[in-house]
Amino acid sequence: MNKRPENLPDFTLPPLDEVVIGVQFEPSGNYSSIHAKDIWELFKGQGYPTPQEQPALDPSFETFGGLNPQPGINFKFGPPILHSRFWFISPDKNHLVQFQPDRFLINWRNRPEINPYPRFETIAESFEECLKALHKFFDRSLQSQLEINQAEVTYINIIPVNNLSCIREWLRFTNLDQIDLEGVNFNFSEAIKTGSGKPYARMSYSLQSVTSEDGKMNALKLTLTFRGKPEGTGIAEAMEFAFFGRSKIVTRFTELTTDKAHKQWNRKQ
Amino acid sequence: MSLAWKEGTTAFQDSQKARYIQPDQFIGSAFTSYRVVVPQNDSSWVRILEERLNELTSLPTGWDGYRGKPVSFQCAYFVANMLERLYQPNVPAPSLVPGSDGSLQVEWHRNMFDVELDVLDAQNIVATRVNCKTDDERVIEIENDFSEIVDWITALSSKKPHIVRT
Repeated sequence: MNKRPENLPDFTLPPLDEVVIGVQFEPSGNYSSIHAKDIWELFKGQGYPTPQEQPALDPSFETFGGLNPQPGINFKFGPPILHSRFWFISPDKNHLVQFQPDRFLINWRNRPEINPYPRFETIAESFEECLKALHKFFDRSLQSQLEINQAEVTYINIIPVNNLSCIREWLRFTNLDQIDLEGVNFNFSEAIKTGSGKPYARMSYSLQSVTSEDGKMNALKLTLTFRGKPEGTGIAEAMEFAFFGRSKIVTRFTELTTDKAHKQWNRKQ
Repeated sequence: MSLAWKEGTTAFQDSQKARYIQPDQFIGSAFTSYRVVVPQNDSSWVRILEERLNELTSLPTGWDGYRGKPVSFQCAYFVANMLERLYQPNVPAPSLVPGSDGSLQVEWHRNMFDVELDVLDAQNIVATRVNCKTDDERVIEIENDFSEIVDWITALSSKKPHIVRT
C-alpha cells in the first residue's frame, strides 16, 4: 500500500462526508449491455454485492485556454444514451463502485456510527484492485485496452456551523462579518501546471450552505475536486495522479481553513 | 441519508432539492467595463453546431460508402468542450467535417486564413493555420490547452478584438 506523505497535514477528525476516486477511459467498441452481469461478478466478490442502475454520466474533459476563464457557450447534444451506469454497493452502504462503459469510480461516504474514515490509502488500494480487475476483463473478454484519459479525486467536507455569519471562524478566505448571511454559493477553480507551465489538471472548489433534512442544522459544504489528464493512459499513471491530487486537496484544504477549525478537527501535523 | 443524487460522480450526496438551500445565481455586474461570462446558448455557434454534432454522433458505420467509422461520442464531447473554450462572439461557427477514421475536423476559411483543427481523438489535435496571403503554414500539436490558438481564432473575427477583462 502507498504510504501517506510524511509532511502532509493530518486530522484525526476531518469533516469529510464523501471521497471519490475515479477515471474516465475510451469505451470498448466490443462492450454491450449483456456484459453488465460479468462486470457485476467482478465486484460482487470484492465486497460490492448490491447492484443499482443509474443514468450514465456524460464524457467530461478538463481543457484550458481561450479568452474566457469560463466557457462562453454550452452545447447539449447526442443520441439517446444506450448504456447505463451501474452502482455496486457494499453491505454497510459506506462504499460504492460505479461503472459505465467509459467510467469507473469508487465512493466512500461518512457514516461514523458504522465505520470510521478508512483513510485515503485504503480507499485508493480498493480502487486500484478493482480497476485492475476491470482492466483484465477488458483485455480478456472485450479484447480491448483500458486507456485512461481523465482521472479525478473529490473530497466533500460538511462543516456544521451554528449560523452562517460565523463562516470566518472556519474559512480563511471569507470575511463577511458585515453581512447577515442567508446563504452561500461560491465556486472557484485553479489550473494545475507542470514545471514548464503547461496546465494538465484543474482544482475546483465549491462552497455551499446546506441544511439538515429536518431543517434544524446549518452546515458549510466544501467540495474540492482535482481532475485532469494523467501522464499516461495506464493504471499506474492514474494512481500517481490520484495520489498527487489527494496531496493537493489536503494541502489546499488546510490552507483555506482556520487554525481554530484545525483544532476542532484535531490536526496532528 | 438517501442515495438520491445521480447526476455527478459524488453519488452519495443527497438530492440538492431535498437538502440544500441555495440563493439565486447572480448574473449581473455593477461594473459595465467588465464582462460577465454567461453562457450564450442562443448564439449561432450553439444553434448550428448542436445540430451538426447530433448528426455526426448518429452516423452509421460505413457512412461514407466504405468502412467509415462514426464519430465517437467522447471525441464529439471533447470537440464541444474545445469549441466552448474557443468561442468568440464575432467569429462565425466553424464547419465540422467527419473523417473516415472517426476523427473530426473543425475548419474556418476566413479573412485570408485557413484554420483547421484535426481532432484525431479526444486530447489529440493537430492544429494548422495557413496564411493565404503569404502561404505561411504553422502546425502544432495540442492535447488540452488551447492557449496557443486563441490568436488564430481572434484573427478570424469580423471586428477588431476588444480587451476582455474578467
